[in-house]
Amino acid sequence: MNKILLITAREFKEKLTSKSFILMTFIGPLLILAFLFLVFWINMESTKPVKVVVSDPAMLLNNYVLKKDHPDIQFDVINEQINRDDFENNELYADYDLLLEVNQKIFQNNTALLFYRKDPGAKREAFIQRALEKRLEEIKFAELTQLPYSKFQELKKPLNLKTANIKTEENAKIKRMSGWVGWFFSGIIFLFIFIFGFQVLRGVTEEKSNRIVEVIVSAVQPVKLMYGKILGIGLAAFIQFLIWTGVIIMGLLLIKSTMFPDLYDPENWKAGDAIATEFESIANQNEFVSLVYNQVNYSVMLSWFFVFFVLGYLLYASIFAAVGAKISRVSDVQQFLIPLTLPLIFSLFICGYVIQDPQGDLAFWFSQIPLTSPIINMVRLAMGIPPENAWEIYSSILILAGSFVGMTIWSGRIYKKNILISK
Amino acid sequence: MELLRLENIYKRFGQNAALRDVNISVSKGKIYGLLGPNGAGKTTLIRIINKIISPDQGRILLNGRDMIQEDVFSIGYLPEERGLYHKMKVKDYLMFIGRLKNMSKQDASVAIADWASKLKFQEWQNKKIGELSKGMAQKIQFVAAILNAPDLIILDEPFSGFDPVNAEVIRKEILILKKEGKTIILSTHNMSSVEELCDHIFLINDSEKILDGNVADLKDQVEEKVYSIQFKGMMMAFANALWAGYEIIEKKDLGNDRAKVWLKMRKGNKINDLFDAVKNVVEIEAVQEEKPTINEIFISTIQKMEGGADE
Repeated sequence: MNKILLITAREFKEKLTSKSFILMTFIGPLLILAFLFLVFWINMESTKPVKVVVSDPAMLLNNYVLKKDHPDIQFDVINEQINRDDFENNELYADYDLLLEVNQKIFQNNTALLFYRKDPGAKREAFIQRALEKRLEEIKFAELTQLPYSKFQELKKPLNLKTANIKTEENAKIKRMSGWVGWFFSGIIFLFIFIFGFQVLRGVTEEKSNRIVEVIVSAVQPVKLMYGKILGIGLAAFIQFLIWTGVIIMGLLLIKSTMFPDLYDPENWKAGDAIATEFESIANQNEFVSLVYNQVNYSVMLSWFFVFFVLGYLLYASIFAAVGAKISRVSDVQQFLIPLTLPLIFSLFICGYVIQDPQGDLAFWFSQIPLTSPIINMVRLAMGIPPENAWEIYSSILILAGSFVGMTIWSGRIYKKNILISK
Repeated sequence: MELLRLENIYKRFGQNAALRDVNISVSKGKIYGLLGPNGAGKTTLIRIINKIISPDQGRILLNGRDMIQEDVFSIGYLPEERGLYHKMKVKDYLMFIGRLKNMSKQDASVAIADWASKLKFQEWQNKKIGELSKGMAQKIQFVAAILNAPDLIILDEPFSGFDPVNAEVIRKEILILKKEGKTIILSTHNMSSVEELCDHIFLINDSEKILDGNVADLKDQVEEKVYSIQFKGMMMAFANALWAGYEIIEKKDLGNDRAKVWLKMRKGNKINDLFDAVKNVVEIEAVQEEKPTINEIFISTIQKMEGGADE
């Protein structure tokens, strides 16, 4: 054991002091933060309020589209004909983002025109359409009946279909979104196994090709050398992950305090109009932001991540080590990397199906196969496992751990047999 | 006193026999030459002694008892194909190897300092191995093999790649180690080193041991001895005087009517018969028995084997 620790310490120290490790330790989380920042920023841009000038020369709308102000979209009704040139060039309309033309015959032709300087996006477009529809309905309704419009609203209230688990009452949509969080963690597992598994493969082949291995195996059994290498590199990977986690958490807090100081103030969530409730509030428009800051249970996810990352890494690293022992030239290493990580790549692809049906057969079987289970289980765990299915997680952990033990014994034999053969 | 004994060692790799019924005995305090052509099985034998691989059959005894894994720490091994961790500092690498060989940190530190002073690499201790010259790196490899002061030292081609100056340094160190009572097995193709350093040789060919003996004894065991005779006088007269009782192998004109001839005795002739035959025709200046070199023994033994196999 002492020998394994010595080799582990050497590998760990070498990895920790290598330039690529130091670079990756800080560049990795910064890249992730930059990506998150970009997504947040794009979301922020899409939630900036827009101003719509409504050209209503026939005064059909009675000077308003929405009864109450809406924080996202402001309608100003002008009872004049505003042509496109005016909208484009007249300074009066310079503050407006959109021009909505309500023609005299709108009740007959059912058509309105919306001109934009900058594409408002599908959500805003739908909002404007719906708002105008509602207003026109209201006018028509008042013309045709004596009933108050509120009655019509009651009549037309859209059906809200809520899908939930019968036992946990979990919301299916939120659950699916959480699945993508699990997918993100799976991606990190893949990334770390890919990077550090490759380092095991390369390290073993390097030791073999530069002939240090015979010096070492004259003092320590080859299998111990293999274990030491796997553990040393794995430990470095773990340290790197901890640093990543720390930097990302700090970065997320920094982004939250600078970008969204008041985003989660409930006061800001109030919709300005009754119809706005049918549309998404700010928070919903920033689903991703909400997901990152509110809905991920980081402590639970990180705990499971730890289990599946460690076991997954150990399983793959022992396969990498065995293959590395069979390769004599470092230049041959590259070509083995993709085939060896193919089960993981495949798992990342099928996660989409798992998110759609986390308790289905596909999800179950791939969560039990040890080469795919670290990826699939993170998604399933993020989406929540019903208590009656909890055994599936434990059985997959047991299978994964058993496979690791079996694989290291098998890899150890291959390693021992091939490490000194250099042809 | 016997330190190491290998009994009936067999090893196969697939269909190929690497070693067949090899028996060797190694006594304390001597230098042994393990010789043989490439692919004869020397490295396999060395790896078996080091417990890097196991024999298919046979026993390995160290100090009279079956060797166990822990015994490898009393063996210092310098493999033929030896690498280094280029990113490690010299001191760290030697400490790592020392610790792997069960040395305490303190003992390893003392030994590193001692060898750094002996082989003059004190100022290189904190440099990365990748920054060292080839000769300096080879010194580090040599030190790594013997850092834990093992009783048995196995050096596989220790001089390969060394420049003459560093080769001499290592040669001297090997002799010092012998003086200190260490036992050394030297596997090399450098026959002059074997000649100079070894007390005993094992010759392995085609996975079998074909020669085993004390260097002086092996030289004496040669059936047809060669003599050199230096004289003053006519070469023609000398050759005529010998007639058919001797075989001249080589002759050299030394100038000023002097020459040197190498010859073998025929028809049971002795050195006195040679004197009698030539003393009246030339003036004899020197006569010497020319013992075969290890290289000649090596080549003639291998050729004899191959000739026998052909027949």
